[in-house]
Amino acid sequence: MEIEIDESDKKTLLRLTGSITFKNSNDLRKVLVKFSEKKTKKTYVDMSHVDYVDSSAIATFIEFLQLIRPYRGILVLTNLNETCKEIFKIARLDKIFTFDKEI
Amino acid sequence: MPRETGAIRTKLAKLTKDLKEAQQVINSLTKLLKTTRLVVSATNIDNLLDVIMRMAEEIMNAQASSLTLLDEKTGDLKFVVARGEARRTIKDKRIKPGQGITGWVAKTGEYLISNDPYNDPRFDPSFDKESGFKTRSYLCMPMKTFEGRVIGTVQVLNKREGEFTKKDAEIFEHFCNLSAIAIRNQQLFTFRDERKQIEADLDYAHSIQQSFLPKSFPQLKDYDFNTLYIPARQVGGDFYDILPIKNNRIAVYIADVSGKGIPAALFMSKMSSDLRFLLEKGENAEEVIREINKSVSERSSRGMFVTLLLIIISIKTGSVQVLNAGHISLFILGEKGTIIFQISENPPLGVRDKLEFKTQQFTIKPGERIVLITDGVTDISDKEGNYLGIEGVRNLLEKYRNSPDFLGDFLKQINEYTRQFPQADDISVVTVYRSPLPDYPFIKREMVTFSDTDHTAEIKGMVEDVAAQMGFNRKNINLLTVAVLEAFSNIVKYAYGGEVGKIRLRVIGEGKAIKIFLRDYGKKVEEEKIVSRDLKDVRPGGLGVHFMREIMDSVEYLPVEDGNELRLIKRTSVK
Repeated sequence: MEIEIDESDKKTLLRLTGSITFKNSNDLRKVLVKFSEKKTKKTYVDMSHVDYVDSSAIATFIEFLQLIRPYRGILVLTNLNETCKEIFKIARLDKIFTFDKEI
Repeated sequence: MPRETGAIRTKLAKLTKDLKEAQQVINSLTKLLKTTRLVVSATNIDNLLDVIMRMAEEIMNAQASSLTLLDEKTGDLKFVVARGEARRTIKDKRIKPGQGITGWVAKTGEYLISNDPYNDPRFDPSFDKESGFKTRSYLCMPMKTFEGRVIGTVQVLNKREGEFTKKDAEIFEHFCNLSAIAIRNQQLFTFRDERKQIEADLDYAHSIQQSFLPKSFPQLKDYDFNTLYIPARQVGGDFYDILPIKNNRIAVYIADVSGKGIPAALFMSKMSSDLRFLLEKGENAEEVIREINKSVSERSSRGMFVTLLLIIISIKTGSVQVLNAGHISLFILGEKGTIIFQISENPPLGVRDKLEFKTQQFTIKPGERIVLITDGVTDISDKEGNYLGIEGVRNLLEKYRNSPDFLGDFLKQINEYTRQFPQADDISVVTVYRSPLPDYPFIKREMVTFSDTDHTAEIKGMVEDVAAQMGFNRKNINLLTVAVLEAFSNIVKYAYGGEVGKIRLRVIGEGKAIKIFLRDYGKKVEEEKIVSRDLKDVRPGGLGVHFMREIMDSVEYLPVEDGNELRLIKRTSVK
């Protein structure tokens, strides 16, 4: 997995590439925890180059949601492929996350 | 001269008398000829007997007459026609052989003239007493066939002029012999007519019966229905039907009515339409049969009853509900052999109007066949002339169990048997065959990998490969790999706890299911701790097991001595 970060005043953009699984989800977790510490208002994650996520990836996103909730931060996942969408659906988390086609 | 004149006179008188007698004979013979014409042209037995009586009186110049016929069953003589004052008393009376003059004549086969019956010990005066008729003279003649067998008697009573003579008897004998032949012929005609009528009735009953036996069967992908019906010469009361009913089910029944002929055929016709109506209405088997039994009991006459075997098949599951009302049990031809289904019997229909009926349950598996028969099949005689019986039928079914043309081969064997010993009853067979599962690729792949390196691509590749060959769609293939990788990561994280360990993976595609076995030799998983977490509780962790359970049809840890073996199963049909 590669992580590319693009930060501006208005929003924080994360571009992910590859698979997010239990082997690398901790790397993503570290980045996200830092964001929550900085209290980033809006975090956009571009998933268009992510081919696969497993339960640990989803768990990481859930943890991030819980961290930003106290200061009313926002997480938007964009451009998920069908497989990834299906995985969120199985976790019944498709209603909890905010998805968008474009950033 | 006076002497000569006297002699001539005497001679003349004798000639005159002879002439008179001759004229009487001619007269009688003329009448006899006339009688012959009338007797031969009589159209039915009643008409014939009436003609015989009238002519007998006329020829014999008698006041009254009667005719008896021998009842071959009882040996009695029955007065079938009587004319004269006493006719009402005499008609339909019966007398024993040897009783009275008539009985004596029938018994001995000899005629009898009695011109003073009251002084004849053989005369039975009871008829006179009863009727008030006074018998003065009596001529009784037996009626004999060509072979000399007595078939009855004709008696003429009270000659109008003078007494009955031997000459009378001679003429009367001719008359009676002629009558005997005519009566015999008429009886044969009648018998033949009755036979014709019976045969016409049977033909009609056959056509009624044929009209409601099903000509086509429901066309289903997984089931094949077939019937065999060989009517007996004497029409029996077999009938059957196969009909699709509510909730994706098929009702099949076979029945046998105890009666024969048109009444039975009409009865069957009504019953089969009632059954059709009630079954299609979607009532359950018990209710349908309770209703049918009620209406059969109300309508059945002269001990008519029906045996019936009803099965209702759930098309999807193959679950079969059976109800047996006094019928022969059914046969199940399975992989291991042919069995007679142990069935709990209910009484036949039409015996009592208020009855409850019990049902049983079994499953017809793919490749199995159910056979329903009537007792016409068990009553078939084998080569030695022994009834097949239910065991014999079972053996025969077993013989052809795996035949590609099951019913055809069975029929051939039956035909062979019945050629030797003709069937006594209708032969009916109904078969239900559930198709075996289609041939599928049996795929088995295996690999050994380790928990340390990035082997997910290999694992993913193998699962995807087998799943694609099994015909899983893209989405399901992806989900399958998600589940397998979740299982893999669980082993890495929990069973081996980050240490390097061996993992054996087997992927088997069999039938309509893919089975994935993941074997590790690490720490035993405590099954009770593996719980899918409540999804309302939004938090990280515990998702992996949930994923597997959500995606797969079955997630199960198999008992192994060391380590763990997880089995994941998913069927090609969408969950």
